[in-house]
Amino acid sequence: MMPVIEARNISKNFGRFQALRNVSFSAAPGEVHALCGENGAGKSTLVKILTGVLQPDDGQTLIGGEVHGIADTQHAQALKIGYVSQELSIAPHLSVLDNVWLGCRGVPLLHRRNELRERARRALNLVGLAHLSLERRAGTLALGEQQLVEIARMMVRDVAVLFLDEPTATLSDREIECVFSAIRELRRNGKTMIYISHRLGEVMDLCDRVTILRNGENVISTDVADISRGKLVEHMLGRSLSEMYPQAGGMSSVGALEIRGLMVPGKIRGLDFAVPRGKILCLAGQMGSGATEAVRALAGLVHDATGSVVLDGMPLKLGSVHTLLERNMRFVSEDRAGEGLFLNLSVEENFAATQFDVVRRFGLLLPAPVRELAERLADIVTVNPDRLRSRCGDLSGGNQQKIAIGRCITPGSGILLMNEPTRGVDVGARAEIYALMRQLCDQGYAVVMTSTDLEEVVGLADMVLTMYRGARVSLYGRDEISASRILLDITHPLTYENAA
Amino acid sequence: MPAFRVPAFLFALAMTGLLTPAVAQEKRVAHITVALGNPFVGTVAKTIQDEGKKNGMAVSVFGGPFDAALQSQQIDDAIAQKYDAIALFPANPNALLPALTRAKAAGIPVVLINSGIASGHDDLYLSYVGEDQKVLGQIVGKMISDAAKGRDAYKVAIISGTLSESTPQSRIAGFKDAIAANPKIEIVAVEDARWDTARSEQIAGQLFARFAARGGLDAVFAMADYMAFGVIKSAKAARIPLGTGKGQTMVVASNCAKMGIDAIAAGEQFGTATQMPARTGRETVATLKQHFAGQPIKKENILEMVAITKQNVETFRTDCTF
Amino acid sequence: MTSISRLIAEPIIRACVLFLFVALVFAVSAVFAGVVVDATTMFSVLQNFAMIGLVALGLGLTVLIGEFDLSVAGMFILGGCVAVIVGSNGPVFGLAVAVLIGIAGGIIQALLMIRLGLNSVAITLGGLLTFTGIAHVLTESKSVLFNDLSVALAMNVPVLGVFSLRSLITIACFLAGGVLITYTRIGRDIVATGSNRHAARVAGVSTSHMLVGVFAVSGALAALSGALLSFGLSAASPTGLSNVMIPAIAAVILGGGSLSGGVGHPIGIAAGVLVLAIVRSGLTVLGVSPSVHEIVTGALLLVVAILDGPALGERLYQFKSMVTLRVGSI
Repeated sequence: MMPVIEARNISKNFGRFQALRNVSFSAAPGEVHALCGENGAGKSTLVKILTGVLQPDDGQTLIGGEVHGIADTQHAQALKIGYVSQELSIAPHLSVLDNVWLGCRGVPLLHRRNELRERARRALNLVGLAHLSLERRAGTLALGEQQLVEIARMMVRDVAVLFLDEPTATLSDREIECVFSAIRELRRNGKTMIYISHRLGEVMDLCDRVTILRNGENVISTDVADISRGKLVEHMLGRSLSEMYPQAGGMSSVGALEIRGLMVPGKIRGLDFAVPRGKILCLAGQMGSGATEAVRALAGLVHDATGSVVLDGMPLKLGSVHTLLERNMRFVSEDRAGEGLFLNLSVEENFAATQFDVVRRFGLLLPAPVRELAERLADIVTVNPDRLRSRCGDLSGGNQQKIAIGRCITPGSGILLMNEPTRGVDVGARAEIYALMRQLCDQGYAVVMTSTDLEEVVGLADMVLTMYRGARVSLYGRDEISASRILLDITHPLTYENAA
Repeated sequence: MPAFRVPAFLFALAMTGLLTPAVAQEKRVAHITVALGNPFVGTVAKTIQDEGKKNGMAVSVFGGPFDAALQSQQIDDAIAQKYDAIALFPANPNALLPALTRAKAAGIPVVLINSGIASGHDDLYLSYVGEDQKVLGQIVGKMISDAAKGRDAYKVAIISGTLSESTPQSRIAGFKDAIAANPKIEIVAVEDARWDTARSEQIAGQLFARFAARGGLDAVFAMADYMAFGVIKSAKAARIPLGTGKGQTMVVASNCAKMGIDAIAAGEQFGTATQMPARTGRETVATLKQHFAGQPIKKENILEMVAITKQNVETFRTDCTF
Repeated sequence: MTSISRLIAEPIIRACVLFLFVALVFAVSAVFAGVVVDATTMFSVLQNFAMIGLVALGLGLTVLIGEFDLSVAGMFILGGCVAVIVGSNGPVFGLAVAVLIGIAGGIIQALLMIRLGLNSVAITLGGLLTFTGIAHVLTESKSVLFNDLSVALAMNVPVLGVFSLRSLITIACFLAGGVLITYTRIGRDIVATGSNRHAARVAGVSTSHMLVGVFAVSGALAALSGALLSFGLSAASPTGLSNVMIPAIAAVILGGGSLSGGVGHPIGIAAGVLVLAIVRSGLTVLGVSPSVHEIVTGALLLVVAILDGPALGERLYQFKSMVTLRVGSI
C-alpha cells in the first residue's frame, strides 16, 4: 500500500551535532506506527520535520506518494497532519468546545454554530469523552481528559496522519485505556498514527509496526508481531539488556522510618507502615488510591495531613518542610518543571539550591564551593560534568531526574521520598536511576516511592504496599511480590477491609 | 451572600459618617479646586469653607489632582445638583470653557479664583478674584533688576510651577517684561518643578552643579515660597553663599508662605510677593456674599500686590501663614 | 451557598453583581439623604463611564492576552493633542489621525515585544514616556485650545436624556469588544493566548498576530478616548487633562481581569468602569468629601482581591470554623 507519509534519507544538523543521519521512515494508511528510541536518538527531530516545525538539511518528505515539502505547522495542518505534543496544550480558561476548535483554520470568524458543537461532540465521543459537557472549563478537567481533548482537537480537523508524542505519560490506567480505544477507533476509520512512547508494553499492545532510531540513524523497521520485547530494548540500547534492575542489597542498616495513622481528609483513611534504612518501599495504587498523597504528606506538602512519623526512634513533625530538611528527608516530585528543578538556572545552581548550608563559606555563597559540590554530586549521579554550566531545562528528562535526585544527597544518609521516579525518562537513563537509588540504599538511605509502572514496582522494590481508595490493601516482602497480585490489589481488592 | 458583608459595612460607614445634609435657606456653594495637598490650594479651600459658614453659605469642596477633565465633570455635577454658585480654581485655562458655557446656560454664577481662563470669554464668569499673575512676575523681575544694577553679567534661573498652566506662563511673561530694560540679565534656564518642594530642591541642585564652572548663578526665581525653601536647602547643601552680593546667589519667590517669611527674616531668601491664599479665600466669600445680596460686583477683583523684603516682612507675618 | 460562591468565582458575573450592589447602595443612600436621583445623575455616571471606559477596555484586552499596556496613558495624552492640533481641519479628520497614530503606536510596541522577546511592561513603559514626550514637543509643553467650542458642546449634549455622543461611542466600543471576545474565533484565540500561550501556539493559533492586534486596538482606543475627551473639553494638554491610568487599572481589576492573563471580558470591564463611575458621581451627588472617593475605591479593590484569591471557599470555611471555635471556648 502506498505510504500516506514518508521521509527519505533525511539528515539534520544542529551546529556540529548531527541529530539525524540518512533516516527514512514511512507509514501506511490505517496503521499505528511506533517510533522508538532513547532520548537523543532523533525521534523528536524527525517528528518536528514531519510536522513542519523544522526543515531537513537533506532528504525529502513525501505526502501520499509525492515529494512535498512541509513549510510550517500551518502548512502541516493544511496537509492533514496533526500533532499532539507531550506537554499539554490546553487553554485552561476556555471551554472544552473552544479548546477542541482552538487553532483550527476552518472555523468561520463568527462561530458558536450548532454544527461546530455537533462535530466537537462527535470527536469527543470518538475519544471516549461522551460524558463531558462542551461548556466545561478545560482547566477543571483531569490530565487524562485534557489529553483526550487534544486528540479530539485533531479529529475535528479531519487529520489523516496524527503524531502522538508520549500521550500516556501522565495518565492513569483507566485513562490510558480510553486513549487506546480512541486510537483503535481512529485506526478503524483509516487514520494513520505515529506513536512515540517509552512504554514498550504499550508499543507491543497497540502498534502495528515499529521503527527504531538510535543516535540519529535507522536501526530497524518491522512489524510488531515479528519482534520480541527483549529484542526491541536491545535495538534501542544497542546492547543486550543485561539487567535493567539492580540486585537488591543484602544489608540493612540501623534505623527506620515509621508512620502511624496517616490521614488526609478525603484522600487517605489511616495508613501505617515502616521502612527500614537500606530498603525501597513502593506504594502501589492507581490514581485516587492515595499513594501519591501519602508521599506528598510525608514531604510536608499536604497541609491537612495528620498522623505520627518517627524517624530512627525520634518523632518528626508532619507538615514542616523545615524539620524534614533538618532530618535529611528529601522529596523528588514527579512534576519536575512545576516543583522540582529550576529549569532556567544552570545545572550547578540546581545542585546547590537545596544545600546552602553545605556550600556557604563565612555566610557567603562563593562560586568555588558551589562548583566543588556540583562536581561531586554530578559524579555520584553520573551527569556529564561538562554540562554543569548548561541551562537545566536544556537537558534530557533522564539527566534532569538525576539532578533532582543528586541534590537530595546530603552529608548524612537520609530518606528519599519519590513520586514516579522515572516519569519522562528513557530506558537507558532509567537503568542508571535504578542503580543510583539502590546505591543510596546501600549507603543507608531509605526510599519511599510511588509508581504506576507495574514493571518498575516489581523490578525495583524491596517491599510493596498496595493501596486502594485511600487505604492499605496488603504489604508484600521482596519474595512475595508479583505483578498479578499487585494488579489485583490495586484494581479489585478482595480484602481491603480487613487488611489493616 | 456573606462575601459582600464587608463592602456593605464599609458603605454603611461611609454613608452615615460623612453625609452632610444641607440646611435650608443656606446658599449652597461648590468650590471646585485642584490638588488639596498643595499648601496654597488647601489654604484657599479651608478659608472659603470657614468664611462661608460664617456668612450663611454651605460650601462643598471638590478637589482632585490637577485634572481638568475631572473639574469639567464636577462643574456638570454641580449644575445638575443646582448649586447656587460655583467657586472655581481652574486647572487649565482652556479645557473648562465648554463646562463654563453650560454653567452659564444653567444660570449658575462662577467666581474664578487665582487662575484665569483663556481671554475672550469674560461672559463665562461673574468675577475673578486673585492676584494678577503677570504683576507678581513683574514684582520679582524688579527685585532682580535692582540687584543686577552695575553688574556686567547676571545669570538667573527660573524654577517654575507646572509649565502647561497659565499661572506660571503669566508670571514668566511679567518677569521678562521687568528685566527687559537691562540686557545684562540673562535667563539661563527655565525648569518645570510642578509646584513641588522636593522636585525644586532636586532641580536646584542640578542647576548649581551645572553653573558652578561658569561662576555660579546670580539669582534663582522659584515660583512659590515652598519651592524657594527647597532651593535654599539645596544651596546650603552645595555650600553656595546666599545673598545679593557678587559671588552670592539671591533666591526670590512670588507668593508668600510662612517658610518664606521666616527665610526672608533670616536673610536666606531675598524677597517674595503678596500672593496670599487666606486673603483670596476671604475675598471670594465676600464676592459671593455681595452677589447673593444683589449688590454690584467688580468683574476683575485684582488683589493688592507688593514686594515683601526684609524691610517690610514683619507686616505680613499674620497673613502669610499657610 | 455553594452555588453563590461559584457565581462569585466567575469574574464577569462577580463584576456585574458588584455593579448592581454598588448601584443599589447608592440608590438607597440617596433616598435616605433626600437627594433626587434622576436622569442628570445617570448622565453624570455615563459621562464618567466615557472618560475611563475606552482606556480601561484597551488595557483590559491586553491584560486578557496576558500582557500589560502601560502606554495607554501616554497614548491617551498624545491622541488628545494630535486630535486638537490636526482637528482644526475638521474634528473628524483629527479623530481619524489620532486613532491611526494609536494603531501605529500599538503595532510598533507589539512588534518590538515579539522581535526582542521582551516583556510588555518594559516596552510599554518606554512607549508611555515616548508618547508623552512627543505630546510635549507637539504642543511646546503648553495647553492647547481647540477653537470651535460648538464641537465641545455638541459632544456633551444629552441624547435620550442620559447619553452623550461620548458615552454612546464608548458603549458601542464595549459592545463590539464583547461580541469580538464571545462570538468570534479571534476572541477565542485571544483568550487562549492569554490563558496558555505555548498551548495556543501548539494548537495552531498565531499568537503574534493576536498580540499585534490587541496592542493596535489598545492604542487605538486610548487615542480615541483622549481625542474624544479633548474635543469634549475643547482643549488638550501634554500633562494630561485627566489621570486615567489608575482608574483604568482599577476598573479592569474590579471587572474581573486577572493580571496572569486569560481571564476577563469587555462586559466585566464595563461593569468595573460603571462601579467606579457610580462611586465618583454618586459620592459627589451625596456631597461626600472627595478624599473618600479614593478610600471607597480602595476598599472595593481590596474586596475584589480577596474574592479573587485562590481557595476563597476554603478560607471562608476556615474563618467560620475559627469563629465557632472561639464562640465555643467562651
